[in-house]
Amino acid sequence: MTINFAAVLPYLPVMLRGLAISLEVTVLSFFIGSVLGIFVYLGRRSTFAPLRWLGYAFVEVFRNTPLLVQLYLIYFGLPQVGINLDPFWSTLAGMTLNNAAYTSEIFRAGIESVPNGLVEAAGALGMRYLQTFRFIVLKPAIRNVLPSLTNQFIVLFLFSSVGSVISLNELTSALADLNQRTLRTLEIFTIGGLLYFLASAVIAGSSRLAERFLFRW
Amino acid sequence: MVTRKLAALAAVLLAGTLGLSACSNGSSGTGSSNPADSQLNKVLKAGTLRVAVLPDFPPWAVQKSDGSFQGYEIDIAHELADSLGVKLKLVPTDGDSRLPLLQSNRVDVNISAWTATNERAQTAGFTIPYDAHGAGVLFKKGASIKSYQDIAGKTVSVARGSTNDTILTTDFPSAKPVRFDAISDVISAVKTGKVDAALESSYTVAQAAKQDPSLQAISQPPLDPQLVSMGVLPGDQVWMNYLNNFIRNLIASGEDNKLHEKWLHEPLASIVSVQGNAA
Repeated sequence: MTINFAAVLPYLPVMLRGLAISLEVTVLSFFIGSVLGIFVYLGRRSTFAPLRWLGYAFVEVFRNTPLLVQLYLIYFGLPQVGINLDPFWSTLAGMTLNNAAYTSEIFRAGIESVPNGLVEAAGALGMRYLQTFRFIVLKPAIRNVLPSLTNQFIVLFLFSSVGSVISLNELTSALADLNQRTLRTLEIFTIGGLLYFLASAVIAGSSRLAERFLFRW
Repeated sequence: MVTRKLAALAAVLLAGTLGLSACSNGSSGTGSSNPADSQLNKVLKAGTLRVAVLPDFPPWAVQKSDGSFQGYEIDIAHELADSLGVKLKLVPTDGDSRLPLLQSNRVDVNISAWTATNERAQTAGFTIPYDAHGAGVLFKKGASIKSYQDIAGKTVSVARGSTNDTILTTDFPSAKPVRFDAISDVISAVKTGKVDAALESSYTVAQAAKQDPSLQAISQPPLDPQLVSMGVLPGDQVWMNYLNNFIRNLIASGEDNKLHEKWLHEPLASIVSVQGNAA
């Protein structure tokens, strides 16, 4: 069969619509998941033992199981106990919990890399715990782990393709549909791969810009 | 600096894409009419026939827990291998992989409930049909569906890219399709209330309704019956001639009908069996 990219280019708008949904679910799950991840980390550091255990269990469960299994459980399994979520919310829920588990570990690395001397100095200056955490610990920690966070963002974005299996209409699902219709596998998945690559490159590029402008000290 | 590198990379990839589309007419064909090059010869020489089959579509073909296959199409594959006097190797596939498996020379022929639509025939080679099946509708008891027309405006699950997908989008444009890769997920979606109905082959929905008392199916007469053929690479006329002859003999001898009755408990559709009657 001849290779013909021109035959596939008219389907670009369909792919771009799918890409928009991939990005939407990724951005939402990344930011909600990261905030959740910080709280999970704080829970693991708390003096209240059940909270520590809960945080530990959460990270282990969602880090050590595949996203596809998690999505199947949320989408097809939960209805058996009465919770019925549509594909977008199921994918969002799964990716958020997954992301929270990974980012809590990333934040742990970042926060524990902040020298203790800084925290003690803040205490000596009379700063309260939350003030210290926000200004002295969190901001330098994020700067330290920005490369890891960028990596996590890109991985999460590529993982959004798993949503296609539970019928979410994101980019991979659009590619699979087009492939079935036209049978031009090489052309469609090359262009699809290119779209994923370009979006990820933009994400990586903006992270580097953020490093240069937001965390300049 | 970041933007310059990105722009350069994008330019290279774009040039490559345009370059490839420009040489779209240069690629070689896939198979020939020279008997020596034919897949038929390759199979006879290798002593093994590799057939792509579906692992999750009973009773046409299903892979059991011990790895072996059974079903109507599996029996046909065995007959084909016997006719050539070679061993049979079954390769599981899904809707997306049928043509890629042929193109990468991992199988010699597809016997995988492959409907020979006109659009697919532009890129794959189809034999004469050995089977025909149509669609049916599956829904939860109590849903307001009394006939095929009632699925208009409802959410309906289908297997991605299948003929049921096409039936839904062309004949019921007001229905909202929800696409899954696996047929089992299409049925699960109705069971778990994610969709109002599922559109799958008439036999599959009838079986699902029989096994689950909360589900109901409309499957007779089947909606939009379509012809199912064996699939090969286009252009290999010698191989296709052999397979066409094999199928004609299978029908004329009554063997196809016998297998169809055995697995599906109904006779072969007359639109297919008429091919066995010499003019």
